[in-house]
Amino acid sequence: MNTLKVLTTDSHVYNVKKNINVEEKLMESRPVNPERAVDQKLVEKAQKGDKKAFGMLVEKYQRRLTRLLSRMVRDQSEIEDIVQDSFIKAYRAINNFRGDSAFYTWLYRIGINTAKNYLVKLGKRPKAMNDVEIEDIENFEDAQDLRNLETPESSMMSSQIITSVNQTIESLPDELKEAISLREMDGLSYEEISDLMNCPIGTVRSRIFRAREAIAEKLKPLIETTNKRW
Amino acid sequence: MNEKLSSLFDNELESHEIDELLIQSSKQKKKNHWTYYQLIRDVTQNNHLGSDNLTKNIIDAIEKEPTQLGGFGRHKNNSIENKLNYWPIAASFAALFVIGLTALNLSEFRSVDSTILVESDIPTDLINDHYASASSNVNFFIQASYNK
Repeated sequence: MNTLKVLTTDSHVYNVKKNINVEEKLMESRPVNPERAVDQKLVEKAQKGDKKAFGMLVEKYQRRLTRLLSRMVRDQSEIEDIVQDSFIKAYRAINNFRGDSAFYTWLYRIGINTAKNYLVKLGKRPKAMNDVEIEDIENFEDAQDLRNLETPESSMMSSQIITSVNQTIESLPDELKEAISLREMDGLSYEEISDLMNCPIGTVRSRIFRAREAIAEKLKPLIETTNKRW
Repeated sequence: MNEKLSSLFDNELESHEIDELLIQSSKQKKKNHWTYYQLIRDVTQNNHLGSDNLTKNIIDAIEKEPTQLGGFGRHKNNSIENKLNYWPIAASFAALFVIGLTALNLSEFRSVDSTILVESDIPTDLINDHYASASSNVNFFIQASYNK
């Protein structure tokens, strides 16, 4: 409702059009980033005591955070300690997260501060991170550096997982292979994939799900073996 | 449920569906396939996989943490900092109580007329005699204190 009824001292009633704040209008029309919306939902669940929801955020961002912090710390076991500390700090401070920034931006700042404190404690001068935007750090081609830090065992496990995923995708029926490739490698939305493949969005959703389930079945023995070993 | 989880993973669920799914998922004891979906994405996007156990270790560590409850900002850990946070509030209440008590005590000896605060060590029988005579003259009390 954009009008107000105003009663003046001379007993006249006027219908006054409410001036909508321009900023509010802009915010209404701004498209909501779907990934940020999903993360916000998971954070809200975590704030209400749902640790599983926070676990989903851990699964989603653990490798990205590891990649980020490897720019500051070279030792693999140190990186893992810092990443673990960062997530624990993030969980303890989860009620302070208000959604002003994206969750991963907030998490990454915690990670960087944790790494800096760690390096200072060791008497090492942290790299100058202040001048580098977090988004820029993510774009660095550092996958090769990380592989050099792996232990032989983790390297072998990574190879097995990569081989299993790629082989399973190759063996999928054509329509499932196309759907999962368009989604994962090209980053297309369900709507875009449905246009390309000329099928309903529900069919796209189902094909991607079935492809993932087929790959997950192949991965289960590998993952469960690793967990049992530890 | 996993099909909806797959859609959530792609940020392709409606808001109300997300709420329903997360409620369902939290009730389920069996692990959902979120881990596998993330692994598949990392492989297809050529992301470094890292240590398989790190995620598990982090989640185990979170399980051991006191549950965070929003809205009240309540933390169940008993750090000294959290205990000290309550001291200013308690001190404020104590101060208010003392001020209130002092004001109440003062008001008993204040009157519209010329009544003054008398000394506390006047013999009781003397006071009783004066009360018996029902005098409202404050000078009785002043004189009594001089005649001690």
